[in-house]
Amino acid sequence: MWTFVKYEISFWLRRPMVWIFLSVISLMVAASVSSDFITIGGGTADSVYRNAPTAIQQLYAIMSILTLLMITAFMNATANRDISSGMSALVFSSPIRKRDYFFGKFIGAFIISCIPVLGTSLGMLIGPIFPWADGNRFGEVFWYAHLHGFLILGVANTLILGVFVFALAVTFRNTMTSFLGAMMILVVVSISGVVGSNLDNEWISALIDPFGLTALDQVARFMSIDEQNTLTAPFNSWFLWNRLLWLGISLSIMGVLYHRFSFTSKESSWFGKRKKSVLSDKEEELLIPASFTPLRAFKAQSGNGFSWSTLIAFTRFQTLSIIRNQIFLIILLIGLINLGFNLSFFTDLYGTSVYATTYSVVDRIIGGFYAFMVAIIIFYTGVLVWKERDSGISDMLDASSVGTGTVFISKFLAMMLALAAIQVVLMVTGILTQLLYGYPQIDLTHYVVELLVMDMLTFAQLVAVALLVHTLVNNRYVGYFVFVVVIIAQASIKGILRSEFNMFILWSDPARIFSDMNGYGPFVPGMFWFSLYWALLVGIVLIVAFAFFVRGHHSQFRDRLNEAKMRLWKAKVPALGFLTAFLLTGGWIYYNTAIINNYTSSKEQEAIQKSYELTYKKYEGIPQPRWVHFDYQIDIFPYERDLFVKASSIVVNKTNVPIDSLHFSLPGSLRPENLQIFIDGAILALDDKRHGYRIYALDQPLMPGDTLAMRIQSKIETPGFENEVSFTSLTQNGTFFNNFDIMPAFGYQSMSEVQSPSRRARLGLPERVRMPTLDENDLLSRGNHYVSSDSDWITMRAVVSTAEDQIAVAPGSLKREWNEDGRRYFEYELDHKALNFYAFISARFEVARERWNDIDIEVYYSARHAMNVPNMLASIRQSLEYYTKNFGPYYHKQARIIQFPRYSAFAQAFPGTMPYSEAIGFISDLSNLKPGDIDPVFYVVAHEMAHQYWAHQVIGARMQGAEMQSETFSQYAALMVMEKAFGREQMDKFLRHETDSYLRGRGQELLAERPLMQTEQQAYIFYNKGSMVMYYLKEMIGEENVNQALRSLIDMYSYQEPPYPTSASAVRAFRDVTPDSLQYLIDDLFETMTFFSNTVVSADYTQDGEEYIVTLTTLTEKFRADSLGVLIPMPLNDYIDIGIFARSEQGLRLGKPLLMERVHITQKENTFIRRVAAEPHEAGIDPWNYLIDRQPETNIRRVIRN
Amino acid sequence: MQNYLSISNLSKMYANGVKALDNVTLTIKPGMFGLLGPNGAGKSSLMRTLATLQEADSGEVYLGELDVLKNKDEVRRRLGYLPQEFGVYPNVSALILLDHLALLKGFHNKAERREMVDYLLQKVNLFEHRKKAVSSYSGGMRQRFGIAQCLIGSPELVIVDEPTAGLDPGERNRFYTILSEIGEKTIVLLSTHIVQDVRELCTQMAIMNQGRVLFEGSTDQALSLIRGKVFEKQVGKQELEAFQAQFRVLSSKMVGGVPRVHVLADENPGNGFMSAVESLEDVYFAKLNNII
Repeated sequence: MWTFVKYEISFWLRRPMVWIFLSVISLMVAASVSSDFITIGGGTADSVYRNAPTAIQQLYAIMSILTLLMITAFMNATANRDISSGMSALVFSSPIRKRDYFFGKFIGAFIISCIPVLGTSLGMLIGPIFPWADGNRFGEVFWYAHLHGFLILGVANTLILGVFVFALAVTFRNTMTSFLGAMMILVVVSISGVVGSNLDNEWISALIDPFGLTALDQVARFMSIDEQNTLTAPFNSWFLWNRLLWLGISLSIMGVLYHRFSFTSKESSWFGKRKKSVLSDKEEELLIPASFTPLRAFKAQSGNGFSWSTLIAFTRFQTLSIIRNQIFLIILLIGLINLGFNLSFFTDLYGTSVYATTYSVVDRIIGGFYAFMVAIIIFYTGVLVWKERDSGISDMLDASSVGTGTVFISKFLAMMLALAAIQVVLMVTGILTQLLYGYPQIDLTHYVVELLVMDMLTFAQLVAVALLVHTLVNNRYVGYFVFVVVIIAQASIKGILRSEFNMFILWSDPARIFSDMNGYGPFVPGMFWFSLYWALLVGIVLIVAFAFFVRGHHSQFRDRLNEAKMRLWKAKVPALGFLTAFLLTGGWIYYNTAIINNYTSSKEQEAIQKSYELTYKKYEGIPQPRWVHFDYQIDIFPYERDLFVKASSIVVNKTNVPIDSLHFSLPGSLRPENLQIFIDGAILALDDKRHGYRIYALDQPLMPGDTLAMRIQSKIETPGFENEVSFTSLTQNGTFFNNFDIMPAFGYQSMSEVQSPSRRARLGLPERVRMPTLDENDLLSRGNHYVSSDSDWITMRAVVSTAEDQIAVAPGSLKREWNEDGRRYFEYELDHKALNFYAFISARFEVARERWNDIDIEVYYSARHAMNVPNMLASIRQSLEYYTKNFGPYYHKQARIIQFPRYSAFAQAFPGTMPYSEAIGFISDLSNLKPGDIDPVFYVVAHEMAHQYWAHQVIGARMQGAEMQSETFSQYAALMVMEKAFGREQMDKFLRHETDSYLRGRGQELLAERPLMQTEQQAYIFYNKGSMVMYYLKEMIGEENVNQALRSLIDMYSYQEPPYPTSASAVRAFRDVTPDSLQYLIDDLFETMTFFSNTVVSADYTQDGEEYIVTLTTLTEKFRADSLGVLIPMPLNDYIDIGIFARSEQGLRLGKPLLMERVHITQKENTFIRRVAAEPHEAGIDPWNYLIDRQPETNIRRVIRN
Repeated sequence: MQNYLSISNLSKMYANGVKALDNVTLTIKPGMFGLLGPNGAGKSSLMRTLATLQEADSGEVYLGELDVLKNKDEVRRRLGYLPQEFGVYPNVSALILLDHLALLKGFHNKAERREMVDYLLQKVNLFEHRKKAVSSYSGGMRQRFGIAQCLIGSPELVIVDEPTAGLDPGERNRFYTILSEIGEKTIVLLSTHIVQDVRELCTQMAIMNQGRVLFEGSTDQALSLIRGKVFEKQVGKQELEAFQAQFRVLSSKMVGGVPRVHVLADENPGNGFMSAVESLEDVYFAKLNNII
């Protein structure tokens, strides 16, 4: 046997393939670990070392997916070499043992197959040496993790997949089948991802992914930064089971295969192969009658040169040969299976159904099928170019009088037709999906534009370039390789160069988003011109490829060059036509994107940010006046995408020093020259257009307490089209911008700084504090709230005009509405002072109105999305009820929800108005909500309504903990409204999502995790952890007490002028309402990062008459974590719930509680004996997962009958 | 010279340094022309060059007035070519494939094309099997299919490259019969390494080796070169080597298990030699071995 192994190994080691694969993997890994812009996999947080143990594991798992095709190449070639080379007759008839041959070959190929994935370790080790690598991003080398990753992921995956491919190769003896089998595995992986998107199915997806990537993610997802840097993910739970399962499967396959393998019957296969019938001469007994008469003469109707009928017939012939090909059909089928899974789950973040809108179906088709299209293009262009030569008919064809152009164009057309046929199939699949989901609003135009026009244009470019590559290279395998390199280069060039100028990057065009509200809206001109531009390039590429198209046998490139010159000369008219048109279009695009519009690369953008910081940071915090009033006159021209703003504003010097100059930072959304500021008695002392910074010197200093009026005019125009549509906020149907987009801000804006810590280090910028440290005595920082730094509470009036068929909305009460000169005018005025933070919106709206007490409740929505409007109205109403009762008065006279296009997917609260994206909520399908399911529409509305108190009444100082006072309290408020509306059951799933997001979020922390009260721009803390903390607090001290504390904050700080409140006062308020015995909770929840590990060790019961005696043994541990997640054990002195539950009803995680008891826990191991009245099903400690526990599933256990 | 194919000083060197064509000059009249030579003599290179599939380094080729090397498109219009080896698209029937090829050769009219295809299939006796995949044909049938496609559009110049290699005698005869039906005004250039083919079919011939033309003329001229100069004798296996040194041996082949040598001599060398009937084979070997 070892002779076979040795032979195989030495055979492969002498070939370049294995070394090429190894270096490809090494270079990819090295590039991704050393560069800031190339990422493989999810990418890690800045604070996790690039070569951390978990990063090694993750890369091993990902790279083993990549090596799948390499393994396939080795296994397939090894299994079939003797047969394909015709050696089998010699080998199989020699005196060798089946066992030696079979296992020898497999083991040899397996050992070779393990080599490429080793490139992961190699790449990790050489990555830090690269000149651009940042030494700070690398920790020490964890050899154990390399070994762990290599064995448990690299080698195991190679074995699992190697066996699979080997089995296919031995069984089918067909290279294509082996590769298709490999593709099928990739589909399984993608399906496992889809399945896993539902929290309840995670374990299924962990098991069915043969690479173990999903399973690895499940054991690693909750690891803290520190653990990621120092530990490998634990080899237990589903990860262990996944490995065992797949190794088991592969060993059984191996057994069966060996059993079936036989030297003699190599033809044996599960599917009987059709014998090729060869007609024998005997079949025709007839001899040719030797007539010796001259042949009849037939003359061709036309000679060479172009003819439509030949082109059509030839195209048809080629197209059919592609479409009828089995491989084509199999790839299509695999793709459709994959797509089918993609189309089978229409759910949002919380697992709630969303409607199958056309754009989401199209997005899924593109996301789920694009890779297959590219695969088909890569594969079939090669096949097409080589088709005649492969079948051996090329000499005949080449010597025939058909025009070379006809042959060449027909190949291109055939490929395009085959692809178009697929696109049509996909389109029909999409439409059927929509109908099956009962969503009848089918946007045929969107399907056609996206799938049949834009996609087909992209494919045309791919095909044309592929044809050119294959034609020029004239070696099939080198051709495939070069084309794949072209594709990878195209995909990564933007990231590498950090330049995004589309017209210079092959087949790249401006991003586009289709919106149900707004169609392709602002993207249309760019789509048109870029499409035209690239289509013309396709023409040129095709002509060049045509010129070099191989006809006959050419031994020297010189011959081909001569031939090409001749053909080009013949095709000079179309060639020059295309070239001229291409250059003209290119010139037009350049004129539009770079001359009348600004183009700034992301590299340049970063340089601007850097020099802005270096130049103007010195002005940060200098005394400046503050805005107190605005009077706007805003003219929106939605269809022209123009916007004109005139504002009169009043500012006040609230400092105690005279101010002699006014500093302005201009918004990035408009050109500096389009914003004018008129201040009486001021001269423009500095006008820095590059950084958008101005200084006006006042001839009379503004004295403390003095007021100054100024006028500001700004406009945003959208001439021509841009490289990327930059300001989608101004658009045909769904304009939505806020005051920061059109007004200057006073002084230096630290939000414009480069924020990523690693980028700052690279640029030589000092470390940046995200927010000032929480310190109640830091009155300087408390001088500003965290939304803006140049105003407190302002008053505002706005006259907004828009197109005649649209409604414009601004905050405040609508005072007047009129039509003038074919335009519609609206005058709004704030009823109460508010933050200087509000939006202006205009679109063709339907309006749903309701009244609650004296408050107008309104939803402005597009007619297509009326489904959830009643739900939104109800949520506003119930929110108002709860908030006015528990928090305090609502100061606005209206509460509005206004829909905007899905260019962003959020909802936002402004004074009395809440813009709400069409992508969330409006398309949620609430018709089949099951018990326990989350109603995201109701939740989001309640959250935004809560912001009318938490942010718009009480706003935190710009200091750590600021967001706790707005976002965390809004989460709590929304939870309470939901609990009232739907009952406690709905909380469970929601809170589990919050736990999951929090635990994952902290593993991706950029700098340092903070306790809740010191949260600084950390959404996973102030939203996700915040929800859990507040809900748990409410469970422990009661809703009344929590609300009392919150109400005291409203009473104390509502519309508070500086100094603004800090989270410390909120925490104090909670302390005040918390009994002494539970004071520890405040430390745990707000002031520290506390974790629990609760586990049920055993749970059983005995029956005693009508009653049941349950014995529950639990383990409890408590830890405190530092900012990187290093855990320190804490003594136990905690009140924790235990519970015993009946069998759960449909959809709910836990059944009816038979017993809930809060127990005082002081030691790790505890045993509880309790009596319940009904038969118990499950029992647990902290069964509702109120405490933060990284293994929440161990809190519950089935109770076993003793 | 109206319809002659005249080749002058045609040379071709491959990238690996092999001289495939070395100053080839030939004039080929209508009728069957046999191009004889061993494997690797340059026959296929010449034929591919004539069939517009390959460039020449130097030299000229004219078909009548037509410059073959420069006007490929025009040549293709008048050409029928059967390559030495050819394959077909898998699973495509003879009817469809021939129809497809006819289309490529400019037969746009469907009815007329169909008529011609049927006629040709009948002519090569494949009509009964026209619906079967060409890829499933036997060697002979496949070659007949090849000649059928070659004859599409009644070409002026027909080039068939080693058409009978691997065919059994019966199939070869059938193939010759079809070839012989091609009109007299057509130039048929047939390359082969089988001497018998030329003798049976051609009036004009050339012998090539190592890229050079060793002989050009009619078969009669060829035979007359050695008329009365060939003698044969059966010899023992041990004697062969001695004979090789002593005589101008043309060939030695086994007849009934005993070697029989043909030698070239001006008169009977005696020693048991008998006068032999001169054959093209003798000319062929004489030329190849540089004996005459």
